[in-house]
Amino acid sequence: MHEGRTGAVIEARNLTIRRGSRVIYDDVSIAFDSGVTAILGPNGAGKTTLLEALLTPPRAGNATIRFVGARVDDSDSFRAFLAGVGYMPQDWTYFSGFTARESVEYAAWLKGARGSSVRSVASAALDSVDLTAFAHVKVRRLSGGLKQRVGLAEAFVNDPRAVLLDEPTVGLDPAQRASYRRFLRGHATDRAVVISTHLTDDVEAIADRVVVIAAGRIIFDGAPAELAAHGTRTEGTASALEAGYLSVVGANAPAQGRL
Amino acid sequence: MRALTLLARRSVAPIAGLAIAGIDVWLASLAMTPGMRLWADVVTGLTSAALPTGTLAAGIAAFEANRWSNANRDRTMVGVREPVLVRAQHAAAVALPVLAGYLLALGILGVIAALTGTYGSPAVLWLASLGAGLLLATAVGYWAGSAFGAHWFVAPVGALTFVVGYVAATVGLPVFGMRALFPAGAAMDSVFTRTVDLTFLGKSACWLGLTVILVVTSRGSRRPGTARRVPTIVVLVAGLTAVTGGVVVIAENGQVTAAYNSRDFVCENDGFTLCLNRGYAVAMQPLHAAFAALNSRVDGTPLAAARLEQNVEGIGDLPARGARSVYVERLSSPSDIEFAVERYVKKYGAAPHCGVESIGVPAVDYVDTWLSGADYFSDGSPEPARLSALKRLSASEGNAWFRAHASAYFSCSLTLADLP
Repeated sequence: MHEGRTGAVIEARNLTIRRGSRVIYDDVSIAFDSGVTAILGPNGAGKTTLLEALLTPPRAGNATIRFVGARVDDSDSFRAFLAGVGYMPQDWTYFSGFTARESVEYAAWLKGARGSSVRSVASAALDSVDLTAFAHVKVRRLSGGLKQRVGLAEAFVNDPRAVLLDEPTVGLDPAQRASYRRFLRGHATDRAVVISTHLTDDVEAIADRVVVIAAGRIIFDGAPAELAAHGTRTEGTASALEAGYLSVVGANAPAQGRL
Repeated sequence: MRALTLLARRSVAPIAGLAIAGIDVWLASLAMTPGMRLWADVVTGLTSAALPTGTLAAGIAAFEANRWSNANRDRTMVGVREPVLVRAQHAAAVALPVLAGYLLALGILGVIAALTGTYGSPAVLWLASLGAGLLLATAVGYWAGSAFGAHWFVAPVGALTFVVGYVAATVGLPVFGMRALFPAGAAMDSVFTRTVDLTFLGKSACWLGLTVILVVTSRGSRRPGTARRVPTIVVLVAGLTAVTGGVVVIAENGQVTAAYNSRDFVCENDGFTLCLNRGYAVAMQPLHAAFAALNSRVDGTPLAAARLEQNVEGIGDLPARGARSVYVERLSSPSDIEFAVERYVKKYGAAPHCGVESIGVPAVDYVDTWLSGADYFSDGSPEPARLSALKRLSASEGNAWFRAHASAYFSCSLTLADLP
């Protein structure tokens, strides 16, 4: 387990999240280092809830959130935290009327960029996702894959130490997904990239670490190969990793819920 | 600043601003007194435009607030900048083009006024309050638009909120001063009034204070899970400003004008003196001719005019010593001049002596009509024979007859038998 490591880029301890009377997470602790971490789990397991709690420490109740070793517990540390993280939500939306450049520039401005640096950091972000040629095209006119790249450029525009991406490859064709993965892989050497996904091939392709969550608990935390080792590939499973994932999730599912 | 201009440029608010400018110029033109060029009429027209332009501003602001909120909720949540300031900046990006449209209208009307020699000067506080009212309408729409998810009906609801507010204020509020707090409503400026500055200051303060409160309390101006980072002092000051302004308006009972004659006259002395406000100088020649005709008939009697001063009818009608009031508001047809003479005759002739019975004294009625040079029936019906007989008299015959019957006329004892 990666709990409580002092060198973690982003870390949450004793995270408890409730929605009404329902407990989503009960006293969970998790930390993320540099590299790509995939959060895997069935639909409704709370992947998005976890990312949102990490992004808004004040919403994380009594949990302790640390960012690059510093506790996020006041407005100054919260600002530093926000300045150092990037985020792309699952249902990434754009402001109709904005071009790709304007959309990324606005995200940069929201992240605190000022004056001429707004333009320069946006240019760099667009360039990094190969969108320079489309910079002056309205986002609404871009294809689905190119739109996702605008979202990616926004998430990286502030050169964050930690990036949280919620289901970033959903809806992309194989070529786009490959391009996406290459980008993430190439930008994870000096930052924590956390991807929430339910696609095991994403995990296999780029993740250094995989965290499986189900029923409000972390049920697996380790290397993709370790997860793959948990299962036996049978007919109907696409890969050893998927077999391992199904095995881990199945073993932790409530008895009545098992197929 | 770049973000502000970016948001403004990529919104429909600039188009709304142009539409508002068009509506303002159009309604101000419609309000012009026929035959005159008066700034007071421009202000009246702009005031009447407050309802349609406010409705448009509210609808557009609701649309833009809704569009922006739903696209940028996540970006704002993880942004470094305070959501309330980000929200306020976007509201400004919507409001500024709307306000610019109003200012553009003022500029266009100002140029037209300069080119056409429009009389007077705009009531600055009045115009400022109209701008503040437009901002409040925008803020109302913005607040409403922020409250909803992405739906087609948000813009109409924003616009409708403003219209419903207008109807509710007009119908539901018992005190005029309270009704005047709604940022749209009819009010008439005139050359013969002065503005009640305190009311306009109160309106502007109230509306600007409410604008600030609506923007900072709109949905999405707070980061989830955090306390609202609105400086309490801003809300307190805005609230205090709004309440103080509202109290002032209610205390003034919403009164925006008071009767006033600036006595900025141009006069013509030719047998008698006729003084008209400089803005109405175009009426001088026909009005002088009409009163000269009247004087030729009533010469030697108390009805003869020696000095006439244009004035406002009713409260504030205080002519200088030795002068009599003449009322003229428009000059679109000869009947406007006849109406001015008729009002003079009714005020200074027999009618006040006859009291409510004057209607029942046809002889006096016929004489007044003859003296005014007006038609007895406006629908073209044949006029009474006695009146026709009066009209057939030459100037000298008419004067002789009126002198002979002046005492009967003024004592309201004139009968049809006295008529020629």
